[in-house]
Amino acid sequence: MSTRLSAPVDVQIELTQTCNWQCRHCYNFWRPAQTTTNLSQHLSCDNIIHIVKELASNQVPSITITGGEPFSRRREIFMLLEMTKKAGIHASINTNLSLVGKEDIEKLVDEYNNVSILFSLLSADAAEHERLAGAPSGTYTKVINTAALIIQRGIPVSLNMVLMRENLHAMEITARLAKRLGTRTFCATKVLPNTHAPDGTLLLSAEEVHWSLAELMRIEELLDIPVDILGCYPRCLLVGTSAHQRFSHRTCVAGYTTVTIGADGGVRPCSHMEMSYGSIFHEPLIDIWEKMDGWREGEFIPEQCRNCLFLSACRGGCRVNTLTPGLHNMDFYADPQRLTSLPQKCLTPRIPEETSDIVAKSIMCPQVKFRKEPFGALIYTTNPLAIMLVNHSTIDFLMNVAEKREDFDLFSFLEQSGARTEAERRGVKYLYQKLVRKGFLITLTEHERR
Amino acid sequence: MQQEIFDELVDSDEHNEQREVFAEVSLFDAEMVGGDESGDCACFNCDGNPCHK
Repeated sequence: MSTRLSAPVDVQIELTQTCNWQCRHCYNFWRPAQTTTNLSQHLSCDNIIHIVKELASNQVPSITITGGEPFSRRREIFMLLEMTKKAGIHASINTNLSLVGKEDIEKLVDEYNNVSILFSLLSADAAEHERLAGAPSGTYTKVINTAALIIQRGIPVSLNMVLMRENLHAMEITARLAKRLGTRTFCATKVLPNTHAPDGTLLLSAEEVHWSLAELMRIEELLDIPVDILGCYPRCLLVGTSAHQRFSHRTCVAGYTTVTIGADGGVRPCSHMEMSYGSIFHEPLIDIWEKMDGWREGEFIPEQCRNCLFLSACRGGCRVNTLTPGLHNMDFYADPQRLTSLPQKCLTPRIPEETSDIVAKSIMCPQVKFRKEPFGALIYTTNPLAIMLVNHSTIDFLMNVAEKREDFDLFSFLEQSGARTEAERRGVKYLYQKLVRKGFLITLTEHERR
Repeated sequence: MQQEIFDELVDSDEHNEQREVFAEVSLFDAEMVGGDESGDCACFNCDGNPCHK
């Protein structure tokens, strides 16, 4: 029913199960309720070598280092960064920043400046943040100071605020703090059901979700800061609202483009779920990936979603919301009835915007890599991270010009593209522009400057 | 007659295959009904951070 990749695009690596906070919304399934985890399970240096070899041999472009709190394993996190750097894999880190010291920042800046960081902050109100995170008093100040220092040193940092009923009111003040700090993005992400609240008691209501997304867009305009959500909603909740236009780029990608490797080596489609398909220490990653075919084939799409107009783009919303027992086997926020009451214009495809011509000659960026796929190829760079999927004829052309280091312009690209109709030509122009925008094609001037 | 139609279809399939037009491949269905048809794949605009804590 959709494009299938030969291997993941991003792998989340849970370096350790240990965390020094006790966030009430934490999705780590191994975390005992109401306690700070102090489990010994973590990836050893040998484990890390094994994993990175597997990722490199499958041309996985990027990893997200997570946990637990990854900076509780300082030696291992820097080893993982070193290994991925050597393997040409992009790394980003999900951290609470509370254990990051000045020497760590120096090391990141000096040796791993291509890394990006996502840190968690639950409120710009210190007491509220520490209460919701179950963190010791004084943690908030330490985290903010550390974030400021890292950003000052030029490492891209995004702030993620997990939204619960208790901190919804603090969205704007937290976004203002993100703006003052200079974070790349302010993310506001709904809480998901977890082992401590499987019945969904922490979840926002549909009305609160609508409010939070509208608030996020208001904040984006008010503060001129990029915003995002790090989760997905079923289309039937959002269609017909401005939030649908703004946030429809998010769809569940568990087992589709991403997998998680746990501290025990278990490979799971989703970080939020315990369901493992095998250990990377006993089976090749690609064999485990193939066992997850059901995730790509729609095995877990709710029955009631299968005839929906939006199915192919929506895929039934979030699997955590769908598969958590007690949530009636549908995404908690799915509202199929809503579609029947919407005007027809909300249900018809939008026409792509007209594109403008680019006249300058381009050349393939020398850092571009290709990963062959059944449909064509995945093309990517890892510094900065950029990814696109293209069909066979496109990749044949791009590999050919890359090999010959041949320059070309939009006109010759169009000529080679096989486009005949106006719609096809428009599509090819858009493709060319996107290749430029993502940095896969650079101008000759840019090439000479590098 | 049936055979002719079949041959024609096969020819036209082959022909279409021969002239595959350059295109981006969408991870999911490209037709983002009612949404922002940016052509961007669902997962590739996320700063490398598809998930959160």
